[in-house]
Amino acid sequence: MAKAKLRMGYLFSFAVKNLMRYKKRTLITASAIAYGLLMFLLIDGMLTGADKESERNLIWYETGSARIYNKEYWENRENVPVKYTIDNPDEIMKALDDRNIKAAPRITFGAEMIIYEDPYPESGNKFVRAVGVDLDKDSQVFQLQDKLDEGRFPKAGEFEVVIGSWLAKDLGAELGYPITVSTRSKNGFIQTFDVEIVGILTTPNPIVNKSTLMMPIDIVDEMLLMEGSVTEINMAFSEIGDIDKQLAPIQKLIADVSPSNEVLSWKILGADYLAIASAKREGTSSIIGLVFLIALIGISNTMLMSLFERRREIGTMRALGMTDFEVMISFLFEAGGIGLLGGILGVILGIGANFYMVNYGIDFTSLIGDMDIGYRIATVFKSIWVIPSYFLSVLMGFGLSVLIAILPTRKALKVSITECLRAE
Amino acid sequence: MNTYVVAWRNIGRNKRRTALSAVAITVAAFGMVLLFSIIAGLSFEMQDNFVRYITGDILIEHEEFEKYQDINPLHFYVPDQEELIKKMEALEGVAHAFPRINFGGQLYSQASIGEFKRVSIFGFDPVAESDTMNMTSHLVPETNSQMPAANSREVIISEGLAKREGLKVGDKINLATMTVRRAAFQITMKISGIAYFDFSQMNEGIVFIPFDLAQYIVDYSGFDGAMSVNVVKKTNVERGDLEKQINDVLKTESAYQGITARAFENVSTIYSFLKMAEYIYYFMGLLFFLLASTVIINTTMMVIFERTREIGTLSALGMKGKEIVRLFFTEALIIAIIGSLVGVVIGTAMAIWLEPTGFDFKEAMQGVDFQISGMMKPKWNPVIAIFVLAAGIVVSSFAAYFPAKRASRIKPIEAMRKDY
Amino acid sequence: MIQVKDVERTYVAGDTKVHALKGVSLSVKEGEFLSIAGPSGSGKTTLLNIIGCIDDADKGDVIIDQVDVRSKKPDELAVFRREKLGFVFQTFNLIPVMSAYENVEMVLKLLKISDAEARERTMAILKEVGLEGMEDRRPSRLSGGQQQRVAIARALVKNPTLVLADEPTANLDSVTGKAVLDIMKAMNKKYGTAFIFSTHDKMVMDFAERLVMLHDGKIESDKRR
Repeated sequence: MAKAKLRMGYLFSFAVKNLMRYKKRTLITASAIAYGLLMFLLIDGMLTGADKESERNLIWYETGSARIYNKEYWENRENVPVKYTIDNPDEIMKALDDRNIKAAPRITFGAEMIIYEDPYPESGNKFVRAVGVDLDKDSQVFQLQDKLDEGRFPKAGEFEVVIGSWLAKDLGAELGYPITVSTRSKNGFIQTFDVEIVGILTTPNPIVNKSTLMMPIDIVDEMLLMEGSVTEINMAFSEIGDIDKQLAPIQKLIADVSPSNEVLSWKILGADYLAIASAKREGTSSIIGLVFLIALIGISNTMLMSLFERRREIGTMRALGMTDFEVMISFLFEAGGIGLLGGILGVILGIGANFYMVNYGIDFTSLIGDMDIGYRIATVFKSIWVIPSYFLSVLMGFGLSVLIAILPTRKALKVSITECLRAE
Repeated sequence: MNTYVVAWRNIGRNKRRTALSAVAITVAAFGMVLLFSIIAGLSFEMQDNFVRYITGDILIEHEEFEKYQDINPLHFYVPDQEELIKKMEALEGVAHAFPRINFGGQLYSQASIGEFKRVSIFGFDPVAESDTMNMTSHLVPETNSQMPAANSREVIISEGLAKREGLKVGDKINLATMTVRRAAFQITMKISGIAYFDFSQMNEGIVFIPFDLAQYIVDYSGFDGAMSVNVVKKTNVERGDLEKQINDVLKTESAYQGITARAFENVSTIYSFLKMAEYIYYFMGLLFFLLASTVIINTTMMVIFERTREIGTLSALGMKGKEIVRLFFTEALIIAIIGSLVGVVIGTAMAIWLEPTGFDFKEAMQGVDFQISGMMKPKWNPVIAIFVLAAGIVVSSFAAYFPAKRASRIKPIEAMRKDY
Repeated sequence: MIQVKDVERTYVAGDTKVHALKGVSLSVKEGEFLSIAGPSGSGKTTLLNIIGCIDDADKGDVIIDQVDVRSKKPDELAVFRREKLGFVFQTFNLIPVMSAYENVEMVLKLLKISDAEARERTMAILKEVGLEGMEDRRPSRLSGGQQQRVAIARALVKNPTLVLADEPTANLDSVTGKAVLDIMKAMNKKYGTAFIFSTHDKMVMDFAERLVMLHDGKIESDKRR
């Protein structure tokens, strides 16, 4: 075995010489691999960038790090229920406060929002998920402070509302305009009331911009006859870490303080989004898989050609006493060399392309507009550096090339030495 | 000797080499035909779904409607739709026309106190739409579904809604919504049927109600109107021509002031959506095409490099550079034609074979806002075949041309000494 | 040293069977300079390949240096060839990406001989075959005769027991061919390495000390001179 080990270096330098001899072929094949890897790095960087930013925007503006709900709520969330509530929010808030956890109660409710011509350009009605917030506490959990384009946040006890900027644009709304909110109270009565727009909000999360209708929680409590109950308590964890680990003590706490409620992490709250993201990944990986497949056909082509052309050389080496294993290794080194070169080339190209993507990104506004594509990001897609992917690329370029070369090499070695030597 | 004869012989002489480059071209051409067919299939399906269920070939509505469609602009209606439909159906290019009213509302019941159950209401004329939407064919047979009786308060609900709310045929539902005057309105209706559609958008929380009932609910009944009138063209008519023709009719009558007709392609939101989807698909196709090209180029160039010595021999025998290039080019061209042709034929066969069944792509499309059923059905057309054939031939023969030209310029002595 | 006994070899080419060797027996002593001659198709290359352990007989015994090579596995044979046998081919078969020096050195590298010793031995043998100063040239920059000298150096550098040369002069002009043969003979005398040629070149036959004539897969004559 020691013998074989010592000879590896020699076989390696032999492979390098052969690669240099067929420079063009090496380069062409390597560039096919590089192209495949470039695509992978580009798409991977973009998707990961979109994922990470989406996750952050989800936590900062939409879900918080975790949320306490009534145990019945989550299953019925599509109906925006106000009947599955947290009935002792103060007690929970205090318990959380004792543990230095930032938390904010909210009442989320479905409503028909009605606007009338004058001052609006047109009359209309629209379904919204409105939310009643405790502003002091809410700004501890969500990053909303400096996100107002104009105006201010609603004051407690006032019939005032902040709306998302995209929604405002759709309605033609401006500060001071009234909105009629028609909903049903907790016990089923139709309740209609007017609120005045006092602020317009823009966040990096399009869902928030598109749908926010935020008013003081005491007003909502009064109108919906909530009697102090809330639909949810949002929490923000300052450090970033394993969310499930952070959640465990809180889950225990809630189980003690109010067993009718449960704690859900943002991963569950954003499950719809995460499902979309992973589906997109799957779709994209199948395309990348295709790209790779073709790059690999390129390698196997090159190896076939190379083996075919050098049959006599192979025969000679075997006659001179190289074992089949050694011949195989030298060819695998060659394939690996092409793969490695392709990998490195792909990484260099990938770094170049992603340098642009990370710093500038691509603006899809004209294409996407305000269509819901699932991601919680503005329409500029920026990539991030996914360092492991670059290592993975080089590894894949090398590893797959070697793997793909095994079969033709084995086949070539099945040909008898005398036949190899007879070849033209 | 004739170049073609020599080229043919060379091709036959080294079968393995020929096979290698031909297979690369074949695989690439095959993949492209299939991919482009799938792209065409997706585009077609989306377009067909929109035309069939949403817009018709020509959509007639108030010119302000689209701008405010987010806020349920019931007051931008098409007046006197019956008269208009008659006028439309009198036009030569029109197969038929039907009215629509769509709006939102919520279901409520004693059990749903404290919940807000949103539904979309889809007011349609079952008789007028029997050829396009064909609701009868969508009724789920196991549920004893019936079409709503005339002048009744019977409705059909989507299978998605039935599942979500646990509703069945014979159940009553209470609907709360807004009239054109933004007054709250409530009505109780009976479910006569449950319908299933492949088109995801039609299978969510939807209540299909007879048009006259919808008119009554939104309070159009006083003046007889529709939110839109959809026109279905005869097959041999161009949408653009019909659009113009209809607009000419609409202009002549003051009653239709502000009412415009738009061909499906000009319904801007849908069109831009379709365009975007198409961009994405063609971008994917382009990536694949580029990659397939590199394989073809790779193989063809390698074959030429491999034969540098032969080129030297030929040139030593007195063949002119031009003739050598022509010989090699002819060889490559023949292989390219055969390879592309075989690839296109197999790809076409595969696409046509898959056309009725398609691939299941539901998983990956989950939650994505694309209006297709998730079954990818390829739709082959001759343009695809011709394009791929041409692309395959052009790319591979170009890939051969340059190295052959270069090789022909190498001095015979060098070419012959190369490698050995 | 070499005992070949009742060796038979049949090739199947398509539908026809070719009986290349029909029971050949031959014994070769150490340091012999032997030529196997005969018209093409007589089986001389087959016999050479079988003795060179790159082809296997269907029947009979092949003993080289007390080793029954027919019972060995392919990898064992590769090691055997590596240590005991040298090859010179009609078409030289140098590795194109390697210089003259590297082509020769390769054999020693396979034997895991230290760099310093390999270098010394390679330079010495190249000098002996008259290629001093051309060590760094690649095969494409050497003439046919020079390439064959590299091949001879490659065969001899490891001090093999036996060198097998398949038509070594067939691709060379007569003057160069003679020079190559002279070198081989000199080596045979100097190191006592046995040489077996296959040839139909009259000059090679004349050069040999023992001439075995094959005809139609059988030994026709076996003469020493």
